[in-house]
Amino acid sequence: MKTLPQFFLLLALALTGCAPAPQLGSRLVAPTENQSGFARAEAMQPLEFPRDFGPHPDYQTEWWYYTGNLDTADGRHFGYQFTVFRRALLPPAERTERASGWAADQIYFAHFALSDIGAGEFTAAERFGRGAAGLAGAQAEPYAVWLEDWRVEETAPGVVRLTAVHESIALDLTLTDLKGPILQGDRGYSRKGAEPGNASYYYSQTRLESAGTVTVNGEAFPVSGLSWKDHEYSTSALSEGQVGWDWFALQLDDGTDLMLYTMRRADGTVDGFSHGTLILADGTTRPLAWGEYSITPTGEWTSPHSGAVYPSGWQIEIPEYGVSLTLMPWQNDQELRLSFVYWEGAVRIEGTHAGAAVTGNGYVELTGYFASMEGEF
Amino acid sequence: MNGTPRTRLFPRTLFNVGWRYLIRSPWQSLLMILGIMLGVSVVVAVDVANQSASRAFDLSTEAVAGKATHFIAGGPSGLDEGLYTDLQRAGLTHPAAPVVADYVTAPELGGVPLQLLGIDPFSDAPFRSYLGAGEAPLAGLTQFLTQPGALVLSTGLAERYGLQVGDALTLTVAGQPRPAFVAGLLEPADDLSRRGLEGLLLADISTAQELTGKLGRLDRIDLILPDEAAAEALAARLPDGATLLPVAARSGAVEQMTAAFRTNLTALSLLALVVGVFLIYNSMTFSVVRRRAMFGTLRCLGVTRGEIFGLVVSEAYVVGTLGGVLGIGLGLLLGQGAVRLVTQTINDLFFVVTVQDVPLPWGSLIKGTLLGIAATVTAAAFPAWEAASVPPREALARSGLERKAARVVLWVAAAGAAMILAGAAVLAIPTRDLVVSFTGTFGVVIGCALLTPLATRILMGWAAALGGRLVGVLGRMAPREVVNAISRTSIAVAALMVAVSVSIGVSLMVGSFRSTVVLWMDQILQGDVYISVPGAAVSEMTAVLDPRVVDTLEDWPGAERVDVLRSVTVDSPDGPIQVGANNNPIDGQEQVYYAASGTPAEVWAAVMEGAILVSEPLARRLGLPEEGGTLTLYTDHGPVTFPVAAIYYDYASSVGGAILWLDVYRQHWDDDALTAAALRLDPGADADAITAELQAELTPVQALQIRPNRALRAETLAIFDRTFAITGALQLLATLVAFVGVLSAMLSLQLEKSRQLGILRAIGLTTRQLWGLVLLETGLMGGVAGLLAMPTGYVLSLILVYVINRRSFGWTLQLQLVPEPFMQALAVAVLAALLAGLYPAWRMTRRNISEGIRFD
Repeated sequence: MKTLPQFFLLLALALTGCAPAPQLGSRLVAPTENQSGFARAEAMQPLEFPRDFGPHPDYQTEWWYYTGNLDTADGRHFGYQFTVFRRALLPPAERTERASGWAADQIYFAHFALSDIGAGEFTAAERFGRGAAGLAGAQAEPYAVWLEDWRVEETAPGVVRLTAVHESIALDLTLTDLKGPILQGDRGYSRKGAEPGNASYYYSQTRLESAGTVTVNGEAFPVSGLSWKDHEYSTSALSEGQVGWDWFALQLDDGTDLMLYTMRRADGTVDGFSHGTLILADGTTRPLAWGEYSITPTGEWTSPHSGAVYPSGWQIEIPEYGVSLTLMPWQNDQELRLSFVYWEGAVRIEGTHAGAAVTGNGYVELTGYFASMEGEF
Repeated sequence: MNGTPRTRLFPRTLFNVGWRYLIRSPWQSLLMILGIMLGVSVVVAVDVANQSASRAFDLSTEAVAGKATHFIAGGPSGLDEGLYTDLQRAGLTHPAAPVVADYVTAPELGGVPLQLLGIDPFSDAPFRSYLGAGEAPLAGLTQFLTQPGALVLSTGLAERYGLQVGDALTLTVAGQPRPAFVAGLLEPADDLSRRGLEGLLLADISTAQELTGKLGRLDRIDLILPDEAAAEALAARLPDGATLLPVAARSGAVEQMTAAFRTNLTALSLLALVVGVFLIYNSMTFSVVRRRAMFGTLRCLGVTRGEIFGLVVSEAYVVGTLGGVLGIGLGLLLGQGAVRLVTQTINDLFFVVTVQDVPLPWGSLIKGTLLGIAATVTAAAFPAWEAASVPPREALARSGLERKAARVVLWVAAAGAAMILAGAAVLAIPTRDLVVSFTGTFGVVIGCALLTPLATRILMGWAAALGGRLVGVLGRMAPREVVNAISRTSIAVAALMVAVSVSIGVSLMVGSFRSTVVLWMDQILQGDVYISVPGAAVSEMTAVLDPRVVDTLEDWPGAERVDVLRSVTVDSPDGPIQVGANNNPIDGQEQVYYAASGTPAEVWAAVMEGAILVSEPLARRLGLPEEGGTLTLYTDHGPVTFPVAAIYYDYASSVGGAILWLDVYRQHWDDDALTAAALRLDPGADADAITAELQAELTPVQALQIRPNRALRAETLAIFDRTFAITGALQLLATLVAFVGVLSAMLSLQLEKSRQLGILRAIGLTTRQLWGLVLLETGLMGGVAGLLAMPTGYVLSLILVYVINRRSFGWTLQLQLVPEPFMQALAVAVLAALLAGLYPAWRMTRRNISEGIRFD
């Protein structure tokens, strides 16, 4: 679950941030527009596949989120994140038929990050594009999501190829879905706040067998491991007073997967709408309500780049299912400083599940530590 | 050591001597200052205009090209938009941004050409930072991206035309009205950006495609490439018809084209300064002559030669500084008009300058001041040396200088002859470097000026003989007076002569040019009615005719034949080249050839087979041989080398162009658009009536320029005349400077002679006779200047027509000798001289006789 409201600010920042000192420059001053009129996630609707693999342009925001832990044969570990975001510029009723193939009422942007644990390196990049002229987009059949040459494409039912290159890092992976789509919340309807409309449609593919190459500075490493995909769309998910969230996607070696999140409020408390899902090896799910699980930070890390203080290391307990896990980041520095600053990193897991010792890997996302997601946006 | 205070104090006293002289001779001082002021102002005005035009071009380019190092260009119809997507999807490691651009006008924006720049905001940031900075809300970009016709313009442009966000605009693009609106304003980051953005309308690339009708096409893809290796690697990936070019190739070629035009203006302005230098020399000489006695006395008192020299030079320095500063003020005023004229010409002939307001080029002002001071001090150096070198005793003798001058006349004439020869030798150097050519020209003109004293003496001898017979004593006296004061009169005559000869030379050149163009138009404009799309500017004639227009023309009653033309700019290894492709089966017979590989029919047969015709200016610019040359163009299917069948005269463009057979063009370029059409009517059909009918029929289809042959010619000549407007203005200014020179010389001479004239009046010369004497003298001087200006002007016109014009613009002109410029010049010279004599004569006659005698 990654609710990133007000994406347009990122866009504005991106347009200014990366250019070297210009000779001629200016600042755009233009009126703001009423952004109401988008479809809202107000009730449970059955999700259908492959249709819902594709985009839902009537909702304002949508993302396809891939994370994964990969190893070379000799044990060099890599973590990766590849996310494509979509944002609608106009509500459906205000869209007009345009003659130009470049005319867009949808924009896309993407984040690509690689944690090279062996070298202690972390690289992150960001891109923007219009959902037109074939430059960026998403489709259900055959499933594909792309922004220029950063792309995920279905090559066979349940199998996709993920490719991305940025300067010295590159990724080329084949991902095979072992469990099929897992519906989060109430059959895919995931409430984030008290208002009925503050919700999203959300499903995951929690166990994607991954194989391919990671390229760093021209050297290609054959790798294999597990990836996780989230796909979520909504119009207004966050409620007032929510400053950020801690999100966990964990994959255990006994075939169990676990999604958990806590929505943090400005006053330091956790919002009661936080929830989770335990996905058993056979693909059956157990919903977890706030209170049925606990997440306790065991340490903290201060980013030397942004100065933000993040929790680092967690103890997770789910008494009802006999889950007790200790999480440690593969490396501390996995902070993305792009249009906004957040920590998204690979973690390793040790612990017990139903009395048996388990190990595993996962991804954790920490937002709102550098600046409140609400106050800042 | 008491030498120190002496050398410090005495010059101060000396400075007072000089200062008091300047104060006590206010007219001389004023005229000297005026002369410098005019000379400097002309140079400053032209320099300001040139610099502004150049800067405006740089800013226009910078505003559009941004930080791109290279760009991918397509044929006349641009690139397929899919190329950009393909490159990005295949993974392009360097920044790349698609661009759709065009020139548009809008009545709400003053109707001046503006650059519509269509960009993709997501890829444009590394190139141009216009939408950036701070807390810009996407809401602004939402409209920008999603609303048809959404434009963003600078706050400066909006304020100038009183526009606000939300206001509607009607763009005219290729003769078609397109609705648009102001979706946002760009607040420039600094003053430079404000000026650079002044001519820009920014739109999303989708909007630009829709407004310009370039659906599915891109004009170019901008790139930032780190090195040539990256460029070569990328070039290898491009499909046929897409060419990777360095940005400098395009802007450099354009800069080079206008360089000749600007150098010519600078040279003309320098001529005005040369006239001014003569004037200063004249005034300083006079001031020295008047004070020879005083200098003698000072020398007797122990003032050193160096101090006398310093005194005169410092006087010149003061005058030069004052004149220079005042000249800058006047120059800036004149410059405002000049900027407009220069920009108009550049818009007409070369490219569209969208930037109208550029920062004041401070360099021009400093240059102007220094030039004024340097010219004055240089001109004063000889008189100063003269003043310093005279032995004290001789200096007290009155006629010393004139005796010396009389001896020097022959030497000066010899030096003049040598300078003419040297100038001619420099002109003979085969170079396209205009500085060399103008150095030669200046040599010849100044050489002719140096011949003036000798010529004046000889002519005055004849005039005395003739005058004596016709008018009696006064008729003999006047010419002799001129010769007696030859050191000063000859300089006034020389200054006037130079100014007038420039006038003759330039008039003859422009007249020849005009008549050449008229003859040429008679030959090539064989159609009866011409139809084209009004572009944003004359130099942008590539807007496309609606296909329905051509269909209508073909079926029009009274039309015998329709010739069509596709005019496009295509890229070549030598920069962009204007290509005209037509289907006129007898175009070959209607061109006038500078060099051809056969008869006109054979030439045209070769063109129909795939050869190309190249215009004379282009052939010169590229250094093509008269026969057997080739021209390589980047076609939609890669570079193609065309054999050159002939070189034709073309006065429409100094940039140069080439002609192809339309079918050949369409083989190489996937472009079936047309730019213009020429209708040939059945014999007896009424061109004016058909023009009116066509106008009524076609206006609903497309806003067109439909002109009968006669109107097209008239418009071409109007542009021609507009181009030379600034030349005429400069010519006039040079004459004005010369007039001030003659006035100053006359005033000085007559004042010097007041005692002598007083004696003449005492022995019975009447007021009328005095008037006659003075005016005869000045009239003679003017006449001599006018007579001498005739051969000089003729030589100058030869140089301008056969050397300067050909080297600058590549045009061969037929020199046309007409008497009018000569007659006018003589009249102007005599009239100027007579006018200059009026005030001194009036002053003489008003003066009390006894006072006049006593005065000295």
